[in-house]
Amino acid sequence: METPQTTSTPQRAGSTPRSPEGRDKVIWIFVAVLLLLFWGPEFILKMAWPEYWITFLTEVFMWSLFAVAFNVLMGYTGMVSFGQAAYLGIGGYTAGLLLKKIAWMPFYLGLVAAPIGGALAALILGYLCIRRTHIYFAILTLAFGQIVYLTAFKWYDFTGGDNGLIGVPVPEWVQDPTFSNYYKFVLVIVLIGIYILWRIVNSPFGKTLTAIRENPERTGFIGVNVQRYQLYAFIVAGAFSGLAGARMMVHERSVYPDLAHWTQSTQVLLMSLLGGVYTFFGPIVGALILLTMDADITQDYPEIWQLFLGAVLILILYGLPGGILGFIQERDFASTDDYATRMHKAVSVFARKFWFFFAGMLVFTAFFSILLEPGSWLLSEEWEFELTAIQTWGIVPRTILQAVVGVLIFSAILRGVKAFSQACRLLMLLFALMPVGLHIYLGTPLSGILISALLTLFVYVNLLQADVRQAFGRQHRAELRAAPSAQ
Amino acid sequence: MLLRVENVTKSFDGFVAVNNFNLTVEQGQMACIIGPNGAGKSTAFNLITGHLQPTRGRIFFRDREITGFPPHEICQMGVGRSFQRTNIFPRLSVFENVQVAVLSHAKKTLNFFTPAKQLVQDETYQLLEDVGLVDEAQSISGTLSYGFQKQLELGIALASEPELLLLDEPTAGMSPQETASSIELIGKIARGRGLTLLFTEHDMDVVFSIAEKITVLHQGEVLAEGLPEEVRANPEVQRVYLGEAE
Repeated sequence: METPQTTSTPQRAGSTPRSPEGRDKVIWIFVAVLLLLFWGPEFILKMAWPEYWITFLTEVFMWSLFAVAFNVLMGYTGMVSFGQAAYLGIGGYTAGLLLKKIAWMPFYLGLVAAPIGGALAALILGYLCIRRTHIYFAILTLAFGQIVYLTAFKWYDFTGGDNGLIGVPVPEWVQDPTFSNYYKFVLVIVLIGIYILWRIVNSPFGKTLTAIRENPERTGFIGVNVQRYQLYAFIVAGAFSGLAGARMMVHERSVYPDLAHWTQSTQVLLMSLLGGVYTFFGPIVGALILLTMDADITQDYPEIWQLFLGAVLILILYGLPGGILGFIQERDFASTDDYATRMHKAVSVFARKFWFFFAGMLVFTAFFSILLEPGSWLLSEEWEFELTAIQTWGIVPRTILQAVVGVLIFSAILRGVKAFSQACRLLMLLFALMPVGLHIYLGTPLSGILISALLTLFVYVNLLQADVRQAFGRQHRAELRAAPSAQ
Repeated sequence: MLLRVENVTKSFDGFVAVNNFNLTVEQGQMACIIGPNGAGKSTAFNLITGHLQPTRGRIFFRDREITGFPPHEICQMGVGRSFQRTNIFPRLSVFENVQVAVLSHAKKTLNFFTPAKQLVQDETYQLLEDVGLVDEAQSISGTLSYGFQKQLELGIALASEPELLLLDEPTAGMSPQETASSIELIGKIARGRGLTLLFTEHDMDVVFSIAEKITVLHQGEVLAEGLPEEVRANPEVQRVYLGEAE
């Protein structure tokens, strides 16, 4: 079967790219993240940033693990569970009860027991839930989740009931005043947990789960026992949720039934939806965003928080149904296009999405700032106005300035990108770091890091990955410039 | 005898969809079930592949009774099928679509840790080549044209190395050119692999061009059975079916 070729471009990208046998390169990303974040507490203390950021980041890590585990179920297997917090609670209580009731129990053994407890619970409850599909499945998970919650809530003799299980013995080193050691402890465990999940979802087992999500009927007729694999997915999600639950227990040195409450389940559902259910790292992005918004807004304006969350969710569900990371990763796959057309499409789609992203970020941060400082529309309430210092400007002029400067810089770079200029492609990546500088200057480094990380990822995924990267190579570039553009 | 269906009846709440259905398919045969809409062809298929359980009657594959087996076990025994409405994994790439089926057949789906990308690549590309989709390997399968999706479904079905392949309306919704090329492809693959083929079809040209044995279903019952010429000559068949189609 012949595909029409408009130019004499070499091999179409991806006609038969066979992956070499060998190690998984993603482990280096995990190592890099570990190295980057490991000295986070020291860095935060040195920069004299608020100490609670250490606890905040720790919480983001724990929720990330929980959300990624949950997404194995929702995003990869296509089973929407409303009761995932049950396994969070069971993990927490397993570790807590073992450590508290059995005096000789070593700390680490108690923690290892948590995922096992989560997995066992998932085996039993999952076995009952997967008998039904779709909404019936969802309701069953919710029902069983609430049973777990109420058991913990009412069983005073065993779990301490609504008083919680207080005073779980944890080692001295966890309890340092700034929680730095705890931060590192959680970071390492969470990264290991997420890496294992990464391997799982990319293994043949994980591929089978995706197949089930896509089409359970067909999956049955490639010889897969669908219900059994759904149960396995349930167990995997339960085990890692249990692991996350134990981390939360260590932090507070106590376990409360609230850990298993259904609102926790919806929280993790929202994180996955926000970040993107069809991506592995989406739930992490979702956890980061949700917790950032939660931390910043709930403190000062608890009454607006729900409203704000609702607005963001509606925007995401309508505007970016694949979630934020889904939007970043999605590419235009028209199978019948030839190489040149595909590459031109790839970069012009990138440009279009970039503007959308840029506008979205500006609107988002402006909205965010207005909620935080409602009086600062035109002039800052906090600072004396000074023309040379941007942080003294009001939100509207500040946003307009960012928009104008951004448009000027980025349209120049994007023109270069469209002409397949290597330098502009790298500039793009470099400029993605600009928001960090700006936001540190404005005194909101957290959101700066968040935005820059998303932008960098966006540029990386769209311009620096495999097939598109090829197009920027010297040989291909010349041919692509000559090829009729696919506008 | 590869497949034997004995006196199978299926009724849904009193409505008898398939009544006292008998069918035998020999090794290497290309057998076809025809019949007007609602004659029970798809029900018959679903009974054979375990998607439906017969109300009465028994089904044998390679002289082993498979009545009541779940679909995945019947598939593992060497029965492959395609579905009438295209049934692929739309958000996966073409390569992954076939690969997951190959992995399942190779019993590697309980491997939790090896990156799947590296596994069974040769087998997968071989299958893609057989069904003419190598160039599309990295495309997202949901974006393919309808004809390609049907080819892909064939590739998925072949991945489990079936002895008996059931194709439910393999050319439904195709243009005449697509129909011709896809029938040619199916015939080539079936002969090349020594497959036994059982298919349903509405296009009479297709049926008479490759079928070696035809079973005519009408209102859930077998109306006629035999070689294409015999069936074509059968006056009753002409009355209820072939006559209508002209």
